[in-house]
Amino acid sequence: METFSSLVTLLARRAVSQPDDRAYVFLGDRGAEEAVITFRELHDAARALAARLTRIARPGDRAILVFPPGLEFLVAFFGCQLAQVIAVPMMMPRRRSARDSSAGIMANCQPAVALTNSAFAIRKDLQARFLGERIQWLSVDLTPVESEAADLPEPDPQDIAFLQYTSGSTSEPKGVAVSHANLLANLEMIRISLGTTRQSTYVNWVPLYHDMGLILNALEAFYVGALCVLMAPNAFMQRPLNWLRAIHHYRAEVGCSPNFGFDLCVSRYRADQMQGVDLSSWKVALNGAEPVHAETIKRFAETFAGHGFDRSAAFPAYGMAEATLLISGGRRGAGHVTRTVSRSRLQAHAVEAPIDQADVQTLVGCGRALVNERIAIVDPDSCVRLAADQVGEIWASGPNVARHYWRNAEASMTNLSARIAGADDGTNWLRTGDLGLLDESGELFITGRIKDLVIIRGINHYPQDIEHTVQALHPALRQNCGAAFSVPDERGEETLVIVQEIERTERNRIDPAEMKEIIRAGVTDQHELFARHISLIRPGALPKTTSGKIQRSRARMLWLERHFEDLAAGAD
Amino acid sequence: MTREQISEFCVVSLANVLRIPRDSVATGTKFNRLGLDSAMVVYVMMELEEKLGLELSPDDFYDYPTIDELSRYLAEKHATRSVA
Repeated sequence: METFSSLVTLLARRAVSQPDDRAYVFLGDRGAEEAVITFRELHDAARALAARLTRIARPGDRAILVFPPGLEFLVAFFGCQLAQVIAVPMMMPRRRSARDSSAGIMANCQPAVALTNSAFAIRKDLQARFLGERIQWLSVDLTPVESEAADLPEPDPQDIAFLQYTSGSTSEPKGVAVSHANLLANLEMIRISLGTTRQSTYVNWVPLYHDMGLILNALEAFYVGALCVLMAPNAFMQRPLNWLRAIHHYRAEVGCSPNFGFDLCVSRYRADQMQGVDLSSWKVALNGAEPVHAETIKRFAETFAGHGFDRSAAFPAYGMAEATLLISGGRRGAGHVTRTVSRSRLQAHAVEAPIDQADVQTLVGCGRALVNERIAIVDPDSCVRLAADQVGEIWASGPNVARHYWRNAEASMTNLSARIAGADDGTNWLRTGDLGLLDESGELFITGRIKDLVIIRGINHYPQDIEHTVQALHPALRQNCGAAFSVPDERGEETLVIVQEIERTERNRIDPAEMKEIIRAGVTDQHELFARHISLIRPGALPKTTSGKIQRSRARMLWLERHFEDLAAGAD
Repeated sequence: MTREQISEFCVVSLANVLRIPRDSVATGTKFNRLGLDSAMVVYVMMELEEKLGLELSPDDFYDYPTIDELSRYLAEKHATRSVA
C-alpha cells in the first residue's frame, strides 16, 4: 500500500478518494444503525473540531477523550490529529467506583482540554470528578459546528499522535507515547498480517479506549479504507450473539476479541437466535489481549461450524500498547498451530514432552514477528539471547515500538531501550515482561509472565492496586502484608486469589467469614473483579524480600502448594 | 414462577457463574459480598430474562441487592405480567 506519514494525510486522501463511503457505523443495543459517518463527513467534522481546538490549545498539548460508546470519540481522535493535540483516550470513570486511574493519568499528562459528547458533558459525577482541574471542556458532535477552517500544518512523523495509558498501576499509570511513525508502521504491519482491503468490513465491540478496539479495529479499518461497524461493549456483554449477527449482516471479514469474548458467545449460544446466520464471510477471528486457549478456539469452531464459521479463520495474536498494538500474528486463512508440552516442566521454564495425560498442557502459537520487526527470547536476568525452544522473556524491536513513556524516563530506559548482552548493533528492545518461546520456524508461544500482573477478561490489573484496596477496608488487615495474584481455574481461565495477613491483636476479634465478604465486596466495587479465593493468614507468613517487598510469585507458588494456613478454614 | 422457584434458580445461576457450591450461596447476602461483578450480573440477568420472559436491567441487582429481595421483586413482576 502507498505509504502515508500520518493519519492526517490519510484522512485527507480518504475524503477525496472515497468521500461517500461509510467509514463508521454505530449500532444501538437492538442492532439497528444509530449513527453513520462517511469519510468526507469524518474529515469535515474533524477539521471543524481541530479549528476549535487550535483556539484553546497549542500543538503538543494533551486532550483527554472521555466518551460513552459512539462515533463522537472518532471525530475527537481525528480532530486531535489534525490540530496536533496529543489525544489521551480514557476509560469512562465508573459511577460506583471511588478509585480508578483517571486521577493518576491526569496528574501525569496534565491535559489542557477534555473532549466528550454533549450528553455526557452534563453528567454530574463527571463534572465533580474533574472539578478543580484546570481543564477546558469541549463537547464534540458528529455534525460540524460552522467554523473557520484553520491553517493546519502536517505533523512530523516523530511527533506523538496519542498516549496509551494501558500499563502501570492506578497510582502510577504509564502513558505509552505513540508517534505517528509508530502508528503508521504498525497499521501497515497489521494490514499485511491480516490481508485486509477496502472490502474487509470490521465489526467491533471492544471499547475504543482499549488499544485493541482503537487500533486493531477502528484505525486499521480506516487505514485500509474499510467500513468499521461498532457496537457498545455492554451490548456485547448482554447479547454476544448480536456481534455474530452483525458480522453476518454486514458480511464482515474481521472480528476481534479477547479470549473471553469467544467463550461468551459459546456459552450464550441459542440455536433459535442464530437461525439463518451465516458466518462464512468471517476471515479473521483475531483472539488477543489475554492468554489464548486452544480449548476456546476448538469449542467456538465446533459451535459455529454449522453457521459456516471456518476454523482456519481463528487468528491468535500477541501484542501490547508499548508496541503500538500488535507484536505477532499469523497469516490470513493459515489457521493456528498448537503444541503439547509438559505442564510440570513448563513451570520450571523447560519445554519437554508431557509425562502422561494429566501433565499435558496445550500452547497456542500466536504467530510470528511482523514485517520489519524482530522478536527475541532473552534471559531476563543476564539479558543473553536464548536459542529456539527455550523459555525466556519476550523482547521485540521494530518501527512500531514506542520510544518512550510520557514523562517517565526511568521506565522508558528499562522497558523500551533494553539491550541484548553481547550484541553491539545498538538496537533498542522492548521488554514485554511476558515469558515465551520461539520454535525453529519463528512461531511465538506465550508461556507465562514475569511481571506481577493480573489479566482477567482482557483487562490488566495491577496487584498493588488490589492489595491497597483490601488493606484499606479494615484495620485488622495488615498494611503492605497482602498479595494478589491469579491462578488458572479448572477451565484454564484466570481467577483472582488474595492472601492477606491479619493483625495479631485482631485475630480473635474478627469473624473471618464476615471479613472475606467485606474483602469480596471491596474488590468487586473497586475493581470489577471476583476474588474467588481469599486466604487470611497469620502475621509474618507471607514471603517477602529482605527489603520488605512482597514476593507475589513465591506467594502464588506457596498458595498452589496449599502451604498457607487459613485462619478461616472452612469459611471460604 | 413462585418466589421460591426464582430464588432457587438464582442460587443455581450464581453458583455457576461464581463456580462455588450451591450451599455457599446465601440468599440473604448482598451480591457484592458474594463477589458478583458487573459482567457476572449481566450474565445472571440474561439467564433470568430468558427463564422468566421478563426484561430486566442491571440496576435491578443494585436496587434489590440480595437473592431474597430480588426474587421477591421478580415474583411480583412476573405475576403482574402473567395477569396482563
